[in-house]
Amino acid sequence: MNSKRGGILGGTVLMFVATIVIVLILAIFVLGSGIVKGIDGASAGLRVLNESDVGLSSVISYMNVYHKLVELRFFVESGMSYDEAKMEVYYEE
Amino acid sequence: MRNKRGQFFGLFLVVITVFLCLSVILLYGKQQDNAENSLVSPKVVLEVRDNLEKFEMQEKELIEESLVGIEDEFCSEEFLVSFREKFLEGISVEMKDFIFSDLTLGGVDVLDEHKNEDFFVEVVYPVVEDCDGDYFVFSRAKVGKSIYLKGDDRTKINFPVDFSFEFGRKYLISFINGEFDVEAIE
Repeated sequence: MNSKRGGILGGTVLMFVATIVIVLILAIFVLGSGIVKGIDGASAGLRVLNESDVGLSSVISYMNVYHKLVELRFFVESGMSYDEAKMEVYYEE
Repeated sequence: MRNKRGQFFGLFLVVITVFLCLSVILLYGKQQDNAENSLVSPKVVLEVRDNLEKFEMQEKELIEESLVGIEDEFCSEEFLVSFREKFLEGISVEMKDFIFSDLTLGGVDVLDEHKNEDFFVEVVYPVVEDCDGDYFVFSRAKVGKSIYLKGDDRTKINFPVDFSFEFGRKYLISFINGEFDVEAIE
């Protein structure tokens, strides 16, 4: 009779502890998913692509040389020959 | 005996929960890998546009240089022939390289064997036919470029783009008060 009661008590305690552990695991999972998304750079559940992902970094690097074309155009429009303007813009620092 | 089964069932729930958590995390990671994409950069298009602008700067300058020093009467047949010859001789390597790169004609790729001086003489700069005493129109026939653009990383999702466009130009060349004037009209 005693052993049967001990078995019931042990099973109940174990089930209680197991339930707490499961709840804790689920809570960690819910909170942990936020950490995983945070590490992955996700915002509101979506991973935001950066400029290199969409090929914009090459356009930004292009912008750094675009001003040379503007200078070239300016020199040519002001009467300088194309070759002289090219030397001035691209080969003289 | 039944109680021991209950103990195992509790532990089994813990194990299966941990397993499911790990599965979800792994699936999330895998999903992100599959969703990664590599888009085509528009840089090539911008560079082609810039090179076209440089080409046209050189072209206009070459037209102006070719007009100077011809002793025949403006708009005479001899004048037009001399002008065209001087112009064609003055086309630089940079100009040729621009025209010949990714060249198409009527939407069809031009073979390398046809990319030579004759292409300029026969196709790009046709003979000037109309001259109205004070001015004539010098044309560059429409040729095209076709470039196949693709993402940097082909292992990711990428959508190649077939970029093509045609370009040509007309210049109005006039001789007023002893001076030449070159103006792009189209």
